[in-house]
Amino acid sequence: MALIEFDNFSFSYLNSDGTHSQEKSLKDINLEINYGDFVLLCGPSGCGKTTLLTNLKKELMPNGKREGSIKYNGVDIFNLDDLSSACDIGYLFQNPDSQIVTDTVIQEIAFPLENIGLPTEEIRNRISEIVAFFGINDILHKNVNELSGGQKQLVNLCSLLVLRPKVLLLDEPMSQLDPIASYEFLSIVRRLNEELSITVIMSEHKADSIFPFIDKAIFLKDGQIEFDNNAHDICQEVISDDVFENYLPAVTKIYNGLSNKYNSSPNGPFSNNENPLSKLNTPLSIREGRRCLNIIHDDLIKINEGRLKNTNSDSDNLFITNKKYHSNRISLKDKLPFSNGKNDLVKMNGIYFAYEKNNLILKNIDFKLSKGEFVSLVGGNGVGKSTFLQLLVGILKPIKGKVKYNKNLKIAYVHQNPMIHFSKDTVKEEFLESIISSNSFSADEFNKENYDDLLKLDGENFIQSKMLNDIKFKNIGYGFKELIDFFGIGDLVEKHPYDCSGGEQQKIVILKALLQNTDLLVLDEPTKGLDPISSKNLAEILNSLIDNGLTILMTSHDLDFVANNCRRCLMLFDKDLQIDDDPKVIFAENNFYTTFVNRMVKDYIPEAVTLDDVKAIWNI
Amino acid sequence: MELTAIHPGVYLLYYFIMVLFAFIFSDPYFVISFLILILVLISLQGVSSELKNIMKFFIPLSLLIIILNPLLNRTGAHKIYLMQNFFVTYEAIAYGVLMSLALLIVILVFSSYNRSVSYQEMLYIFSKKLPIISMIIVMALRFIPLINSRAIEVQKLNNLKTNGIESNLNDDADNDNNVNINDGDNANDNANDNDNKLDLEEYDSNISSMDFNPDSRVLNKIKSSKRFQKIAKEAKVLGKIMGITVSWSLEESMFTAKSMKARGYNSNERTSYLSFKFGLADIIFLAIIFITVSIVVFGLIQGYGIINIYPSIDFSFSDLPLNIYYLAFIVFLLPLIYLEIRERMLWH
Repeated sequence: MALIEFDNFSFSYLNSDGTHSQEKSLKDINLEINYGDFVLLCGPSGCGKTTLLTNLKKELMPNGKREGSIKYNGVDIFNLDDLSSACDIGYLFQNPDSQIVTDTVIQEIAFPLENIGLPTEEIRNRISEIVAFFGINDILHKNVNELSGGQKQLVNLCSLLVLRPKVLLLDEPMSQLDPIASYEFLSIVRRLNEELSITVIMSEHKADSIFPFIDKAIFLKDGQIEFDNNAHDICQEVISDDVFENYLPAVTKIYNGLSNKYNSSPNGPFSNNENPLSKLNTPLSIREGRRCLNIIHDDLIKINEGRLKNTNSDSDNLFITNKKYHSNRISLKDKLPFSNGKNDLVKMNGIYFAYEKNNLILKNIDFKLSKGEFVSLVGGNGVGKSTFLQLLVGILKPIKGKVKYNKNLKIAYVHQNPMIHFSKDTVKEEFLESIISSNSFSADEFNKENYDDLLKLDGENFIQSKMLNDIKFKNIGYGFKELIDFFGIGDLVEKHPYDCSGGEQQKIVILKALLQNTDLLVLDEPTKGLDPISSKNLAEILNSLIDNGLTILMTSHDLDFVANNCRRCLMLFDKDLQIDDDPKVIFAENNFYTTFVNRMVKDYIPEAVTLDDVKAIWNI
Repeated sequence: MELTAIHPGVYLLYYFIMVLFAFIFSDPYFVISFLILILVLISLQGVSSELKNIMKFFIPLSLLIIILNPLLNRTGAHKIYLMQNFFVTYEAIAYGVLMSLALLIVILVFSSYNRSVSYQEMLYIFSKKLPIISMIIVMALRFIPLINSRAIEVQKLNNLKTNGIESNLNDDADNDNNVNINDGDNANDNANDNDNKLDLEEYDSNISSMDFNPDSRVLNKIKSSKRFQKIAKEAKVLGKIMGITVSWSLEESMFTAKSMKARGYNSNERTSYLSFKFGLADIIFLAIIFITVSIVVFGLIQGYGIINIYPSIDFSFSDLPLNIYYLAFIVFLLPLIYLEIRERMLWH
C-alpha cells in the first residue's frame, strides 16, 4: 500500500470575496507515493507545487474547494488526529528566517516537543539524539541571529525531525541558500531518506544536484501532472518539452545531444554503426556523465583534434597550460589614477570597511566600473558581496578610502529582498513613484491632478496612457509600455505588490529601478528563488538592456547564469577582489567552483563553461 | 556561576528581597555596606558592557538628584546658608544622597540578577503559571531584533533615495572642491539642492495653500516655514520607513504563524524542556535567607536600619550599628559572594 495516495484530487482557492474561484489550482491529481520515496516536484512558479504540498498538511491547508481525496496511510488526511498530523508530517518553508519562532537554537528545537506536551525528560532525550545525529553541538546555545542561512535552515529541519516525522514536505528549502549550504542541506536530506527511510517530497527549481538520487520526479504545469516517472525515464520523456527541458541536469542534456548525434549522422567522426550510448541509462550525475563520455572517448578526441587543427592551436599544451584561456589582464597602467577614464562610472580607491572594530570585511579594494559593462560578483556566503554593493552605491560609508562617481550618475539599487522596495498599495503606484523621483516629468506638466487621473485608469489604459509613454529613458531606449510588455507584467499593475509571487516581485523592482532613469543598475541576488524559465527571461531582459547602453553590476550564486550572460566577473575572497576577469576564463580555470557543464566536459574541452559552448564545439 | 546549581526560583526570591531592602534601609551604615557588598559581587560576576552603558546614564542622573533635591526641597531643621537669603537644608542633601544610592543599588542588583539567572530560567518559573505570556515573551525576544535589523535595511535604502549621488570623477585635480559622497555634509548639501525637484509632498503643500481660508492663514504661514517643512518631511520619511518595516514583518509573521501551527502549537498543553532540581544547595540557601531575613525584619520593626531624615536628621556617624541585626544583614548579602569566591578557587 502506498503511503500517500491522491485520488482524482482537485483544488480551487477561495476568492477574496468568499466565492469559489472557477480556476482550479490543482486538477485531477492521481499520485501514489511509497514508503521511503524521495520525490522531486518541479514546475514553473505558480503551477501549484506549494498548493499540492500544503494540501498534505492538515494544519496548513488553504481555504478552498476540494474534490477527490488524499489518503495518508489509508486514512483520509482530514480525519487524521491533530497530534499525529503534527508529528508524522513535517513541513519546511522557503525562508529560513521567517519560520523560526524563538531566539535560541535549543529552544527552537524544543519548541515542537513542548507543543505536543512531552515530559521534560523525553524532550531532553530527543534533543540530545538529534544534536548528536547532526553534530550541531557548537551552535546549540547560540542566538539564531548569529547563524548563517544554511545553519538556520538546518535548525528548522532539526526542529521538524525531533517529532520523528514519517514524511517531510520541503517547499523550495534551498532557494534562499548559497550553493555550498545547499549541498550540505541536500546531503542531510538524502541521509535522512537513506538511513531513516523518511519519505521526502521536495520542490526545487535547481534540480541538477537532486536528480541523481530521487526515486520519482513529478513535473507540474498549470495544476496538472504533466510527467510522473523515475529519474532516468523522465529525462527521456521530457527532453523535447519546451518548459521542462530546462529543469533537467546539464549532464543529461549533453548526453542527449551526443546521443542524437549518433542517431542522426552515422558518418563523420561518429562513424560507429550503432550508438554506443544507447546501451546506457540516462546519466544524471557528473560521475555517470563522465562514464558516458569515456565510452565515446576516441570519438571525442577525434573531434577535438579536428577542432584544434582548425584553430591552429598547440594540442600538446592544451591540458597543461590552462592559463592560455586567460584574457588580457588589466595592465598596471590602467590601475594607476592618471589613466584616462572618460567611460568610468564609478571608481573605488583603497576601500576599507568593517561593521565592527577589528573585524575588516573588505580590505584595500580598488575597483573601476565602466559604462556598458555587465559585471557579476561571485563568492561564498558572508564574504561581503552585499556590503561591497552597498558601499558602491553609497548606502554604506567606507571607513577608509574613496568612492568616486561620474558626474550626474544615477544609480538604482535593488535589494536582495524585493519586499523592502514596496510602500504603496498597487504596483502602478509603485511605478509612478519611481518615475516621479527620477524627475522624468517636467514640473509644469505634471501635478497632483494628473497623478490622481493616472491612478484612476485601469490597468490596460494605465499602460497605454500617453503621459507615461512620452517619457524618454536615456539609457534604455524603450517606452513605458514596451518595458511593461518586455517584462511581461501587464496584468500585475493593479495588484498589491505583496500578492505577486517572488519572481514577479523581482521583475517589478527591477522595472521600478529602470523607471528611475538610471545609468547603473545594481542588483543584489536577482536570481535567488527564480525558476529556470524566469531566470532565462531575466537574462534576456538584462542582456538587451546592456545592448542599449545600461551598465549592470550584480551578485549571484548562480554560476550558470553568470557564465552565460556576464562579460566580467569579480570574485570576492578574503576581504579582497581576488579575481577580475571574463567569467568563462575564471570557470575554465577553476576545478571546483565552476558550472556543472564545465565539470562534466573538463577533460575534453576545458574552456567550455556553458551548455551553448559545448553545443557549439561538439556540434550537437 | 557554573559550578553551583541553584534553582532559579530561589534566585528570584533572593534578589526580590534585595530590591525591597534597597528601598527600605536608610541607615548610612546599612546602605554603604549594601553598596560595597553588591559591588564586590558584581565585580566577581564580571562587569558587562550593558552595565557600563547604564552607569554612563546613571552618574549624571544621580548628580542631578543630589543637586536638585536640596534646591527644590526646603524642609529640614539644619539650614546651611549659601548666600544671604539662599539656603539648603542638611536633611535634603542627605535625602538626595541616600536616594541616589538606593537607586544605584537597585540598578546593581538587577544587573547582578541578569548575570545569575538567564531569561530562559526566568521564563521557566513563569511558564507553568502563565504559559501564554511566557511564550509571547520568547517570541518578542526573537521578533524585536528581527524587526530592528529590517528597519535598518529599509533605512539604508532610504538614505540612497534622499541623498542623490552626484559627483565628478574626472576632476581629480581640485580634489577639495570635488563633491564626494564620503563627506556627510556635502551629501546633505546635495539633498538640499535637490529640494526643488518634483515631489509628491510638495503637491500636497501647494494644494493646501491654494484653497484660501483666512483662519488658516497663520497655520499656512507655519506650514510654509522652512523648518516646519523639514520636520514634516522627516516625519513623513520616518513614517514611510516604519510602514515598510511593519508590513514586511507582518507578511513574514504569517509564515511564523504557519510554522508554529505546522509544528503542533496549541495541539496540547505546553511543557518545558528546562528542568531544575531542588537540591541541597537550594535548601541551605533558603535556610540562610529565611533566618537572616527574619532577624533583619525583626530589627526593622524595632527601628534598626532606618533613620528619620525629615524634619530633623537623627543620625550621627558615631553610632556604630554593632548589633545582631546588622550582622544578619551582612550575612544575608554574603552567600553569593562566598559561592563566587569558592568557584574561583576551584578553577585554579
